[in-house]
Amino acid sequence: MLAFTIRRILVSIPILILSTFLVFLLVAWGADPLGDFKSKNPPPSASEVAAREHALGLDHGLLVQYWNWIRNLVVHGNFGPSVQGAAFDINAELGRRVWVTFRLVICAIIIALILAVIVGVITAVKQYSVTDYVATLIGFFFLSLPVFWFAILLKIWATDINNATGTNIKTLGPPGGEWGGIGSWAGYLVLPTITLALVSYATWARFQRASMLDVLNSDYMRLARAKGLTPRRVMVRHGLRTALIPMTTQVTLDVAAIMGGTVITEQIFQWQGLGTMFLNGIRTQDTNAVLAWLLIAAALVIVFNLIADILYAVLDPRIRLA
Amino acid sequence: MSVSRRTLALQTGAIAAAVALAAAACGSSSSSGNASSGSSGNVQGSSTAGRNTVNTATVKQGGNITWTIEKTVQDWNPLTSNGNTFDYAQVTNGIYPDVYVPQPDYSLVLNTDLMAGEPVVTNASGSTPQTIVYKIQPNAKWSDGTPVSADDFIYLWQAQNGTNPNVDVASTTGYSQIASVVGSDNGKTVTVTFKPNEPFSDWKSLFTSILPAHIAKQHGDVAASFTWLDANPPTVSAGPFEIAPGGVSADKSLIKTVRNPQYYGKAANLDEVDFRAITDSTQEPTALANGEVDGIYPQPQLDLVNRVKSINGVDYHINQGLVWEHIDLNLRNSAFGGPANADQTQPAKVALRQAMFTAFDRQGLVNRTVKQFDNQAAVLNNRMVVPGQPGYQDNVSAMYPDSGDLAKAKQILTSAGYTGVGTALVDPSGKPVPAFLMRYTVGNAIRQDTCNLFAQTMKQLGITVNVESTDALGKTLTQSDAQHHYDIIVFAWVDTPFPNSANQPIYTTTTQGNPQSNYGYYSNANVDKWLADATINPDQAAREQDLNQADAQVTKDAYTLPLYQKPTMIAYKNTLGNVRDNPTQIGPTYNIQQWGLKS
Repeated sequence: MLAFTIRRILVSIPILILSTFLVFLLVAWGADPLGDFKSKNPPPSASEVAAREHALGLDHGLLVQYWNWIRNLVVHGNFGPSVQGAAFDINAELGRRVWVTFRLVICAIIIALILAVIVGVITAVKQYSVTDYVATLIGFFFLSLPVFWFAILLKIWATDINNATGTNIKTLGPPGGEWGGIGSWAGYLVLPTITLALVSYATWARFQRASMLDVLNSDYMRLARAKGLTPRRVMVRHGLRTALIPMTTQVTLDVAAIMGGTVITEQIFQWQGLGTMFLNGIRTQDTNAVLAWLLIAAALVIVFNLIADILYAVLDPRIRLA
Repeated sequence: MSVSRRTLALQTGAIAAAVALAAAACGSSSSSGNASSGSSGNVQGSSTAGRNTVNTATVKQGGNITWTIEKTVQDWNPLTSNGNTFDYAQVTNGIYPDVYVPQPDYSLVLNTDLMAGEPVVTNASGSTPQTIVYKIQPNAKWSDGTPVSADDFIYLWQAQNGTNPNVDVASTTGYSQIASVVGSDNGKTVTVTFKPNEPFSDWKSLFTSILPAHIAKQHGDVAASFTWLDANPPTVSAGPFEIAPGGVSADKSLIKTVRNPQYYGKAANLDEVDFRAITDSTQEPTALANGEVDGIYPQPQLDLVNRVKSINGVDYHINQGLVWEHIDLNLRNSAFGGPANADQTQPAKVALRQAMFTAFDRQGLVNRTVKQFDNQAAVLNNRMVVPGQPGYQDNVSAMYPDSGDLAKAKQILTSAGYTGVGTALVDPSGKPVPAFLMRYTVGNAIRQDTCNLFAQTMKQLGITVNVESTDALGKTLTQSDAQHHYDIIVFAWVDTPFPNSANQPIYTTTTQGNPQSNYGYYSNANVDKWLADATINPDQAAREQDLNQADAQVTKDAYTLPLYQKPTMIAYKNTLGNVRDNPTQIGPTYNIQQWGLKS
């Protein structure tokens, strides 16, 4: 197991480097970090442009720029200067924003997971019943919902509810990631959590249903029933436990995707997390900020993939990693 | 469970890139809004002259409000290249004072809290340089008790005079023409002397965002301190508000400012004005409806305007702003002009340019786009100033009718010897007119529509115009590489209340590779002369004549075609008094100390 883990970590390093290189080229070719600056009216002088290019390291060729970036990162742990201003420290921003995004995501995952397991099990056990059809319909409804549209709809409903009842549901994220009291905490979380949770729930519930159906139709379940175990014991001890194994790995894999995929949710609810950092980086043609986001996203994918594999081995005694 | 990790990582990169491109499109589109004027719940179209008194009200002392900005505040020095950002200035307007404050009607009003009377200007005469003597109010002081003095004026000049390349400044305009800034009278009198033969007619644009020299001195030389002031929130204020202790949130999305108890002028009405960053303008109306903010200032678009209209208890106003859209021709294209030093006045080439502008239906464009939500949107017919600014006159429509004139355009081409008019245009020498590449900012739907409409019109003249987007407007304008070039382009200029100096770099003859703002390399000796005179002539009427002569000549030479002014939009709770739109670069917080809750 240890050798497997180490090998996987080592393999991930060139993958990370390659992905950063590709994105570096795409961003660098796609936009001029000083485009806005050069377009100012009155325009900056050639010497002012040159000074800024020098300060940002843009006066070198692309390959040198990339080399400088990666060297700076490896040697100094520094993601480099930002075109977004003197006070925009990419390292500090990353450190702060990871937790903002994490807090946003974790509640959604917990709620989605609980809902998905319950609904997945019920719909599997009551396959082709009215309950199954209704749950399936609802699941597909949420699956097909465009997140940005649903989120905006939620915000408008929340505003109406607030105006009608005096509640304090927030449509904007907590400034500085500061929650305030428990009421304020809930006010900030409710809308983005619902948005993120329902989409994940729909996917996971379908996954759990399929997994549970596989298990229910297996020989050992029939044997368990034949041995005279109670239906509840058969379902929970033998069925659910086994059906949760693929679900566990699926959720673990999805955590990274959800973390990286909160761009739209963060933007709509104005949470200053990783997603908004990425969008602002794109808007301002801030190559270093975009690269930093990519590195975190790619690292999350690799780490959670690794965790998924390890969990799979731990949970399923038939699997052994070498 | 055997998913390839390499595939996953590559997928991540690909997804990131795809999202990046999509996001870039979104980002660009946010700068593309459109114009109109009117107002809300009780829609009122305010004339330019009437803008200064919109929502004038008696207000009570006290109260907190939250105002929306569209960027998290990363820079605090409004005079640096990064700090010179509209949203940042909304916060610092109440902290770092200006000598002259641009008003909503584009006029300039002396800040009498700060200045003891109008500056005394001595115009240049012969070898005698222009001088300006400023008198600072004796009681004007920073919030730590240090007097506002000539030192603060000297610091601004030293930082912005362009002599130190290490100082990151947004502009050196005006300051680079100053020979000296000297203090006297205990620092309360400031004498500015310009260089001989370099007077500056837009001198009222000088000494905005006065910074604390005594704080700067604690943080190194001019370059180092200028950067320090950019990276750190203001620690002192000479305006009616100051940053509250701990008032900057960790993510800089919430800035709390409170009334400056040491302010020497009339105290602010509100106890506190918080600035909340909402970086997606489409989310602003919901935040306003939900009471999370009390006012917004987004770029209006049809959906956004309709959403604001539906909010109870909110007033809104849409005005014509100082940002205006236009179509430019690249005169480096040999069909329009030619390479460096080519004669741009060859009759056939002029005729082609004139015919293209004559044919285009600008009114139709306005009707299809900005007029959808702004019933006062109109075709713009001057490049130097906008309606309401001194000296505005129509220098365009007589030659290029608002609604276009296809027949006249064809006649111009035929008279100039072109054949194939309406089918496939051939120039008088028998050479087919090449297809032109027209560019617009990616994601900007209105500019895309503009290009498509222009291309359709040109087709009727027998001219092929291919429309392509650009994801890097700056690169394309400067034509920095083979991928970023254009023959025709649509983009916007941002005017200021200081047209005499702002227009010169846009239309003055320039050299290859150094276009300044004259990206299409337009050249006309008379225009050069008139615009140069406008920057130095002390007589307002003469300057207006200079600008209009230059504008008329640019019309005749068919270099740029002005389209329309982009609108500005303000919306706020109707319990707020004295909050109003200021479509100049200073924005709505120009009078923040007068804001208050209606009594």
